[in-house]
Amino acid sequence: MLRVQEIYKRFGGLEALKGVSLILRSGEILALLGPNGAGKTTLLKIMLGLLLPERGNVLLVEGERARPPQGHEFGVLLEGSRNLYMNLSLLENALYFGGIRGLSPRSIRPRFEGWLERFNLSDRLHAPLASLSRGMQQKGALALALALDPRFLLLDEPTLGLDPVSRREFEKIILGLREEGWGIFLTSHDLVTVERVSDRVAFIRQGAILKEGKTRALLSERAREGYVLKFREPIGQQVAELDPRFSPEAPDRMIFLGSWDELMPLLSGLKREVIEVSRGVPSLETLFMDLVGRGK
Amino acid sequence: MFWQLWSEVLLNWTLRKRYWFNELAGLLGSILYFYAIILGLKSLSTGDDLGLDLGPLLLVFAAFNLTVATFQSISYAIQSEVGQGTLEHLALARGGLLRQLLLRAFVEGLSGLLWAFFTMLPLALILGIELKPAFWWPLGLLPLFLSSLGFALAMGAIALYFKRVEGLFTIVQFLFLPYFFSLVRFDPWKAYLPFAPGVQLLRLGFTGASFPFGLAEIGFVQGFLFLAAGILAMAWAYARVRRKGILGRY
Repeated sequence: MLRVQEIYKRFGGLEALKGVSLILRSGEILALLGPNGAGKTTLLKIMLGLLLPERGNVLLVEGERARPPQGHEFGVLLEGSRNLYMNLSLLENALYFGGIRGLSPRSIRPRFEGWLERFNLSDRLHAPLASLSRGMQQKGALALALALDPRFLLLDEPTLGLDPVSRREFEKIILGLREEGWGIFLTSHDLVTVERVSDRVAFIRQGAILKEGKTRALLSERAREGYVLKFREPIGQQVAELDPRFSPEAPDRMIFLGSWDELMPLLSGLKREVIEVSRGVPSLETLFMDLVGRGK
Repeated sequence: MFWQLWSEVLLNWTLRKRYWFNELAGLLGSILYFYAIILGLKSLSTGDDLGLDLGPLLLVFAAFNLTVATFQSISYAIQSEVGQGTLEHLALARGGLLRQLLLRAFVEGLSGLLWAFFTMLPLALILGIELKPAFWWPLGLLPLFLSSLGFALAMGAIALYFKRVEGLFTIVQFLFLPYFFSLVRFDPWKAYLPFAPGVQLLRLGFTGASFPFGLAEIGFVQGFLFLAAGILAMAWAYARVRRKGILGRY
């Protein structure tokens, strides 16, 4: 288990993190969500030891013992194409990055090839990284992160720049890894993917955790607080602009976060034909907008 | 730590092999550089004789090449890794960034040594300089190598903080060239100057002299002092950039 305790970080006059605490367990996917500049990457880098906090600590808890983790104990995907050397092949990258983590070519190569096979990239072992598509590069970087045999995976915006097909593949891979017992920490703006894969989710804004809990539980909790409105025709932004408690769910659907008594007076002023009002589970995006977006 | 060193050797070899044309051109450039200095001196002298023994001059030039190749290695590595966005991954190496950069500088220094040899050999043949390597010459190289590594770490500390330091390199190189050539005429008091005992040991090692214990002692003390200072500077800069949040970016 990885325990993040009361992390404070300041950059000059900016308080980037204000006492953030989180727990990442093995066999679960924890997603950290927040707008740009909320402190997601800062927290991830502190977890990796790449940034020093003003206060607080990160501990790897093994039974009764707790100790600060070492950087080489993590498998990491950093945001963008900056996880591997572009002028080397996948294999050359694996041998280098495996080596600097203390792994011999004999131990890293079969593991890396095994992961590449699972990701359908075996035939690209010797191809220069620059010749691969963005999705392939990302999968190659993930294969390497896994081949390093880390205790936890920390992924910063792993689906950034991926096409929908690659994104779906990525989701499948992540879910498969979770089933195998990997603890995965994820930061992303891709709320659809996060909703599909995460076990727990934490919302961060201006360096503070606003809410944290099991993804399904948080969404169901919100379902009890709101209503889904289905319209006969697609609606624009007008309804959302009418009242901040409305959030778009689909072109012809809105979610209203509030009580029935609050909704009733608003229904008459919508000027759009509502064909169905029901209790429904809001999307993670609605929850995100409600928790994080409104404060912007 | 062996595999960490091995991965640096492998990376060095892979990149040199991939960009062999540039490597070859660089080598030729070094040879031409020294040859141009000699031609320049000849054009300035009135008689046929330069009044200089070319042997020591060549050996000091080799020492200069070795030092320059080593001292730039960490800073160039940092610049290149920041450019590619991979510096943070390097910091996740077993033992951390400092150890990995030191290993890289060590490997770069060794290849710099090989390059200095490849520069020296054709020049010695062209200029008719006879080298008489003493049996102890590899030991004589160590102090200079240690000092260069220490200096490389100190320069690396600056590069870690400021990220781009080519301008500083230019200044250092222009200061180093006359400084190293000033060591061609060696006096005992010069043994206490930076790099000087190492340069003199290298020179003596290739002119068949017997092992100078006193000079070697000063050289090793200086080498280890440089190394310790470099490690301290790098550790300080590493902690500072991690606190400021500018490890992997400009």
